[in-house]
Amino acid sequence: MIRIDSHRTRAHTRAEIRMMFSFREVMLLLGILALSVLCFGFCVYTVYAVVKYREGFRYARFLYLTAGVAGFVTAVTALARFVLYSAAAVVLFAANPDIHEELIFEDEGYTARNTAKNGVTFEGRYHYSAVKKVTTYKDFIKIESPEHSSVFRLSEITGGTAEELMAVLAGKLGDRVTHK
Amino acid sequence: MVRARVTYNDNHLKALYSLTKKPYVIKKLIPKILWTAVCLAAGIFFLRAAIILRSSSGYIWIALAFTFAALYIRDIIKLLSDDKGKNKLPPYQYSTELIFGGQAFEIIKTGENFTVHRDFPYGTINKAVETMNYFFIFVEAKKAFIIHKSELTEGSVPELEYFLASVFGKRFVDKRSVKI
Repeated sequence: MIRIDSHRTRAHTRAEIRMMFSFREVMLLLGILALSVLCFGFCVYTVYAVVKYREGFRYARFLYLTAGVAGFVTAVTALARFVLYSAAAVVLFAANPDIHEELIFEDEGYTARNTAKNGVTFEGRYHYSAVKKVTTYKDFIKIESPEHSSVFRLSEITGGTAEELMAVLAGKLGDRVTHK
Repeated sequence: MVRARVTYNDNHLKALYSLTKKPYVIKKLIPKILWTAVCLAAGIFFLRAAIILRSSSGYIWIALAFTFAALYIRDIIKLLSDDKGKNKLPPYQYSTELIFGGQAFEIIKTGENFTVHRDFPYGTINKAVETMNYFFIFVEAKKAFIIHKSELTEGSVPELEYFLASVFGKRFVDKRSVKI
């Protein structure tokens, strides 16, 4: 039996974010920002054209105006998405979860128990076949199961050793373990 | 003590969506209607200009404007005919036992290879709603446990109504006239 007493802090959250986000997600986020900047630039150009040629062909002015409005709305939508995703990441970084969680790994499965600050308690008993994914990053391990995920450090093991735990994870979970 | 055993299916999701869809649909519908109107107005303007000027170079803009208008109209029809919204059942099978009584609302979820036990102190629950056929227990603003009145295994509907009214007070919303 391997016992872990994990006290979730900002370091755990940062590690979890690092495990979730890859280069692809960061480039996608920057792409959204670039799209927003391009659309704002296009919008400014069309407004400039409408103003410059205000004595000109009405049909063309309406075309520029419609394109400008479409560009503006696209720019605002993309910027709003970028801001929302960035704000969510900042809130996660800044939050201090302060949750105490106990995990017990046995032969057939594991048990996770925690109590949130507002008094909501959780106890989950999982057979290893229920585990969806395990991700390791430095000395952090994230284990994802139905209704629950846990992040803990190898240094938080209070019963058993890190080698025993890694052997259990490799043996029971095999290709569901990813190293980042 | 009142107990219920629920195996969630699409009917539960449809019931939850029926209860919560009005603000969601209004929020999604307003920009779609606006954009449909803009695209139709642009298409009609370009068509009128093309007829008056006898110009063939604007047909691409006419086609684009009416295509976007058609796509937005398709989205509006899809939104209005949708009966589940974004609610989805998880990919694994499980049954849920809900227990009312004591100091906390207890949930026991049992799947093929896992069991999850959660306790929600009544003070942490957002609200409870009763409709013609269902009880909805909102543990968060947008997350609810749904119980059809026929799914009670211990206790009766009047007992549960009395319990919820006494524990939640104003947080228990009576919508028995609503045909959900």
